[in-house]
Amino acid sequence: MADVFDRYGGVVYSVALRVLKDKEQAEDVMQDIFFQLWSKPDAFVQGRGSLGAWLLVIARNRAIDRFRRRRATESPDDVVLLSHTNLADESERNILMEKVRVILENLPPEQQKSLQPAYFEGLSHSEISMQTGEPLGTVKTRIRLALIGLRKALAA
Amino acid sequence: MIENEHIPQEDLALYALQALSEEESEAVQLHLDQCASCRGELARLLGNTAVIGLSVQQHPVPLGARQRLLNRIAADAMATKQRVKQDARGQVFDFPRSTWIPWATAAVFAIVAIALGVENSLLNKELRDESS
Repeated sequence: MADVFDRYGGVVYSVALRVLKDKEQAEDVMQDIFFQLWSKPDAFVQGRGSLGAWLLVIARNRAIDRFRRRRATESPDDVVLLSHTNLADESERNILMEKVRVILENLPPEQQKSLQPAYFEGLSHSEISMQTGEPLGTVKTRIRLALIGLRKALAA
Repeated sequence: MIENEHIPQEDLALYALQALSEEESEAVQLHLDQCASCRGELARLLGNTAVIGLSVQQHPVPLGARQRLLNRIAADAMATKQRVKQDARGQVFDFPRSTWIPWATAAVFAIVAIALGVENSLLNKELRDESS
């Protein structure tokens, strides 16, 4: 577990901190995630995808749950993702980080405006719609387009 | 949409981000439980959302966080070990208790029966002596 923590602790903590903007709460989220992984290692099934990517999804979701003061919306067992990104290797991870930042910065501003609050604040599409004044359908489409744009750019 | 048709990609993307309302999420979940194709697409979308987390500024974990995790794990492992030991001990005591109680009761009855038998024969002897 110490090795897994050394490898992924930083990225898990950083995501939680970005969402919660509070060091203590971000550490709580990080500690709970690694403790759960230790006590219930079957929650992550190897072969489904990379452990790093899975931990990132869990970290973001747990942080959002805490940020929105709601109980955990899903069990880690329910998170099944398909990702071939190798986050285990630090140098590969750093390259990918830079690539993702560039891709997100290059998304059309209106897509960024819909994706960012959904991802980092856990806002629902209707909340984003109210916040931006955009129609609900437009917000939905922008989020989908942002994710598809990200997928295509990563595959390129 | 939910029963027979696949979930629109917009809704699936929002579901991946947990950005649907509770009722909408429940409806999507119902469909996902029965549809491998939509589950596959959701897994791909979740793979995409995972990397968004990499775009954030990276921070080192707080000082001592690693040790705090290892201490918590060690404490939990110790508590589990003690629980297992206590359970095992409980079983050791439980097993004979459940077996020896009926035997002990039978033995007490046997002793009482023997004592009554002896007393009976003594009284009979006394009666015979008195009548002769």
